[in-house]
Parts: sequence; C-alpha cells; structure tokens
Amino acid sequence: MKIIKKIIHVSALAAFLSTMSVSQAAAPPIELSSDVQELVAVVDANGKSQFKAVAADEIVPGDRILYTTTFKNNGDKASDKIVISNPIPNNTRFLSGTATGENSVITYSVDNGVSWGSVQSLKVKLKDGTVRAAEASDYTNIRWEYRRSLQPTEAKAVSFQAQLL
Amino acid sequence: MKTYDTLQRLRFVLVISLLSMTANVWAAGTPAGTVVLNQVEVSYQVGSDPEGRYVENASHAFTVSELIQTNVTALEPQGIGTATPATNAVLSYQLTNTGNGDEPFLLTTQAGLQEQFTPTVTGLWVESNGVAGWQSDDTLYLPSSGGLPLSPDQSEVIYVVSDIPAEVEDEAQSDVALISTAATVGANTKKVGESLVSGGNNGIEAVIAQDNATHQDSSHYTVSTVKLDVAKTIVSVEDPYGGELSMPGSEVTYQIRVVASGSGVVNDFVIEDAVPESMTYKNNSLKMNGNDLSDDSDSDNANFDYLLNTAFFSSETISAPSVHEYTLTYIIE
Repeated sequence: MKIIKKIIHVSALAAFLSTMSVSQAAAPPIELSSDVQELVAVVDANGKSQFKAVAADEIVPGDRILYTTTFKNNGDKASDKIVISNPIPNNTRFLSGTATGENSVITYSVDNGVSWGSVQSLKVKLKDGTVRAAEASDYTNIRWEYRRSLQPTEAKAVSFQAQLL
Repeated sequence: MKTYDTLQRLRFVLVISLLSMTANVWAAGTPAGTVVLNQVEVSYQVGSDPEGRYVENASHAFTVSELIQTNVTALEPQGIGTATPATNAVLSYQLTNTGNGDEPFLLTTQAGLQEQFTPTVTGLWVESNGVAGWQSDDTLYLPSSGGLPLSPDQSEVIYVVSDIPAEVEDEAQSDVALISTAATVGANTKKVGESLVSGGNNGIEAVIAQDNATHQDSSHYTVSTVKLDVAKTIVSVEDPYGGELSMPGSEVTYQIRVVASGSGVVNDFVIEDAVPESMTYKNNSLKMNGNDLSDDSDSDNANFDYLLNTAFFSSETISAPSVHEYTLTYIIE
C-alpha cells in the first residue's frame, strides 16, 4: 500500500513506559525507554524526497515506523555486557538495513530468538525441506550487543524501522 | 454512416490474444484499531560481579488508525452498445473497500458529459441474487440508506441501469461515472492525507486516502444498431499425463465468445482462426454453444481448411442481443 503524505500534527507522544528489575528490588542502574515515531515522506526545498519522523498518532497500513530504544546509566558504576533484544512488533515487517546502533554488534533471529546470526548467515528452512537465505521479512527478533562500557550518566540509543502490514 | 447490419460481409481474423481480467488485488492490511506492541529487553552487568546481572523491559504501543479508501472499477471499460430508444441499459462496476476499517459508501452517478446525450439513470443495483448480470431481484440501492456498508477488502458489483432516449444519432456516446464517497461525517471535506480525529471505527483516528474520500470510474453507452464484442480465451489445458501443464502433446482448448449487443442483425458473419505457431489442429474439435460441428465444408456453418491451416465459423445472420460461444482445440507440437 502506498505511503500517504501525512498532514503532520505536532502532539505529545502518548507512550507508556514500564521498567522493572528482576534481579534487584532497588531502582535499576540502567533506565530503558522505548519510543515509536512515524516516518513520512517529505520533499525538501531542493525537491528531494526524504523521510521525516513525526508523532505516531495516525499510523495506517503501509506506513513506515521508526522504533528507538534508549538506555541510560543512572547508577554510579559502569555497566558492561549490555545486550538489547527486541522482537519485531506484531503486524509489522522489519525493513532491511535499517537497524542502527553505535558500537554494537547487530544480529537477527528467524526463530523467535532461539538462534541468532548475521544477515549473511541466517537461513530459512522451507516446508519442502529446502533451505534459502533469510530475508528481512523473515526476521522475528533483533539483538544489539553493546561492546563498550556504559559510564554513569551516559546514554545511548539503538533503532530500527518496520512497516505496518 | 457505418452500421454493422449494412456491411455485406464481416470478417474477423483472430490471433491468440488472451484476455485476462486484471484482478485488482487489494490488501487492506492490519485492521483499524489493532494495538501494535513493541517490547524491548536489556540485560547487563554492573562491575565485575557476574552475579550482578540485571534484566529490564520497556514497551510502547500504538493503535492502528483507520484508512478510509475505496476503489471503483468499470467492468466494461470498453463500454456497451445500446439501441435508441432503449430501457434498462446496464453498465457494471466493482466497488471495493480498500481501507482497513468498516465503512459505508454513498453511491452517485454522473451520466452524460457536455454535448453528449443524457441517459436517464433509473436505479443503482447491488448484485445479490447470485446470477451474473442485472436482474430485477438484485438489490436496489437506496440513497437514503446511509451508504453501502463494506468491510475491509469487501467488494460488490454495482449495476447502473439507464433508459436511453429516442432518436440519438448513431455511434453517439455518453459517459457514465459511478462515484463512491465514504459516508463518515466530514470525510468528504478532507484532502488526501488529512485526518478525522475520531472519525474511525470506535472513535479512533481516521486518515483520508483520497481527496474528498471519493473515487470514481467511468464507462459509456454507445448507440449503435448492433455492437459486436469478440474475446478469445483459453478454457482448458490438458497435458498427456492428465495434468494441466503446457508441454508438447498438451491439448489447448480456446473459446471465442461473440456478444452482439444493441439491436439489429449482422449479416454474413465469419470468424477465421489461423492455427497458432507450433500447434496443430485437433481433428473434429469444432463446437458452437457446446454442440459438435464437423470439420467438413457442409451445412453446419463451420469447417477446418487443411490447406489454409485455418478454422472457420460462419453465420448468415446474428441477431442482437445474443451471445455465441465457439470452441476448438489445438495441440502443442
């Protein structure tokens, strides 16, 4: 379905955020937040088309969605071995090549997180037993392994794009 | 003035042209009102103590808005022939809800452009009796009904039934547009991309996909004594192994369908069908309206000429309105 040029409304993002720690009762050192925006095609002054992120208050089938996860260290010690895992949301498909994350190794799963691999290595087994290379639309999960220490007060973000089916 | 009934001989030389109805595949997509949830998890370690491993979660959800969108497609884009005067001249259209929510659609017509004759639209009808074509026991669309309700991806065939005025010049044409407009209050005032804050199903946001939430398509009436439409299609393929694959030895049966509309008579009608390249004619496969015909040049108005490698169907007269179906079979070499 074509992407419809939207009339952009500037409005507060209605998000709900829930965080919890399963291993510590105290406030967790890392604060995690998830955000979603719609990407609409706009034409700049030079006549060039590009995407602009706007509030996700009128998303319809075919629209392009930007998911951003922010992680901030509110503790007084550095955090290490940070792994962020994100199932592809229901009713969407991952858009190839859109996952970003500074200093992160990004891998994908096509079996709901049972196994992980790179874009080049992932395979999909078909009903007839044959195997083919996985496509972006086969991905069920994305994982970022942050390869640095996250220092106190430091915040980083990872993101990916999906399309509403 | 050219009319078919004044032609001394009408000859059609047909080549294989597969007329395939282009089926618009509309996928409405995720239904309006669906909650799309994103859940993300982070795990990490604080300091060098592997026991100090944390796992935290965050989530975010949004509700899919309603996309208000419709599509009208004329099912006879080439128009139909009609007599003058005539009653109950029928044009067919397909109406589809290509949005992702339930929506009623208001139907109107625009018949006759400037300098064209003006048909009198006597009614819009919704196909409902299971028999193709308009019949009087289909359902009459009532403008006061608040619109024709359609679910996402649902289609209905709409018949525009008109009376044609008398003494219209031969070959005169009149365009008829069927116009569908979403019935949601305010939708018809919006441009593409604008929205109605609570105009969607159950009060959710609605996004307008077409200017004025409307779509239309046109066909036309053409006044003629007789109008002939000829279409050739493949009706079956039978391979040597009982399947339906096209391969050497497969028998391909073609149907040539002749629809004579309007009123009047066509004289000396002949269909001439040359054997396609890389195929041979299957002996004694000529049929008309399901009845076997011989290959010989005799009185059954069909023959296969082995010198010309061509099949012939003929008729001294064809009266309109009528439908004639001819079939024959070729074998892939």
